[in-house]
Amino acid sequence: MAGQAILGDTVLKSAIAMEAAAPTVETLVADHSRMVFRIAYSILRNHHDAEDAAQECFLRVWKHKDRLHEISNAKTWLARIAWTTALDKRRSSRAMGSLSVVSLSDEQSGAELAQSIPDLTVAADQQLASAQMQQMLERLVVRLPEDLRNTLELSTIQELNSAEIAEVMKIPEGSVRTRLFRARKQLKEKLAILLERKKNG
Amino acid sequence: MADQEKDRKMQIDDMLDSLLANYSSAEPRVGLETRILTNLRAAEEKKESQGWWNFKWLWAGAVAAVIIVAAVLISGRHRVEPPTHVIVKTSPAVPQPEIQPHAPVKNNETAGIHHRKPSTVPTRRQNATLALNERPAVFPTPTPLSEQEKLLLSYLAGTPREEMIAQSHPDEPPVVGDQDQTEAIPDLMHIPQKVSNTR
Repeated sequence: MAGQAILGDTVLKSAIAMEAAAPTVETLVADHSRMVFRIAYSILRNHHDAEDAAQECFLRVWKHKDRLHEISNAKTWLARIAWTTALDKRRSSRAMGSLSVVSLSDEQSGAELAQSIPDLTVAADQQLASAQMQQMLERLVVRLPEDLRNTLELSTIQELNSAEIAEVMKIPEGSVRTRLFRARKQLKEKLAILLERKKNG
Repeated sequence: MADQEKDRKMQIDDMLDSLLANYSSAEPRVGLETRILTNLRAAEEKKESQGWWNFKWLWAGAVAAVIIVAAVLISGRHRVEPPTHVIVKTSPAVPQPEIQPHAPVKNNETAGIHHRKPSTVPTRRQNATLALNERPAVFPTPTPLSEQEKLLLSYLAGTPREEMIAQSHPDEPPVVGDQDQTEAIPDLMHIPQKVSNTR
């Protein structure tokens, strides 16, 4: 009799624990809304659009609120939804012509980029923190190949490590590292070219 | 020279690291969580209200269908039946002459024409055929004589033929004046008409 009571108590406790472990939409919002916003921002580069994407992401989550207990890793699941939502939004924006992609081989745009590089004689920290440099980096990232760009953008999210990025993108972790290496290499080459142009006037 | 190149590469490396570190460091506006939750609640309420409206429209549709069916049944019950005592001789369908096309239609002329679907409503030709089928053998339909007609027939049976012929002629016009005056009026038909070409 006492054994049955103990067994029943254990089952009840485990059921309560499972119930507590299953995330709700509210807890997901409380825990991960900032990460979702940053993922969206890394792709859309705009506060307003990023917040819209975050709202849309949680609306998509809310549609699956009855199946949240089936999710093993809520963070990466949510990150993937945020990533796909932001990518959809970026594609639709591009389709509407709000983004213009210019090749770096274009002499004129290359000259414009070189002009946007601030004077390196000033303190490095100030230069790096400047909005001009950030804009220049954004323009360089835009010109990366799609796969490298997506991986690089996700890698800038502090909340995600390479394993989680791999899970979000549904690719092996090794591929994430390879893509990051290639993306950084291309960016460094382009930065070097731009700095050289700036130096030569 | 090599040191300079190495320094430059390191400088670019550091620059890139710093830039990428700040690439997604944007902070959302204050109250993002609240706005998201408010939006979710609004969506939930909207869904609930939409569900209720759908349910309401379902009921309205069902009621409308019942009303239409009832109206059709009632109108069918009050339909005027044709008289059954009239014997109608149904003759076989009169073959209607086929309307021959005046000229062969070119394919390119009919290319852009959308052909109508065959409708269930009877066409004018079908109506004419139906009317021919239902035409009685004797027209007008024989009906029993009225009292007036019976009296007329009995009168005709008892009256001699000469009297009937005499009655069928119109009465002569009454004499208005003297015979002399009537004779004084010349017959206009016999007066020679002067033909004059000068006008």
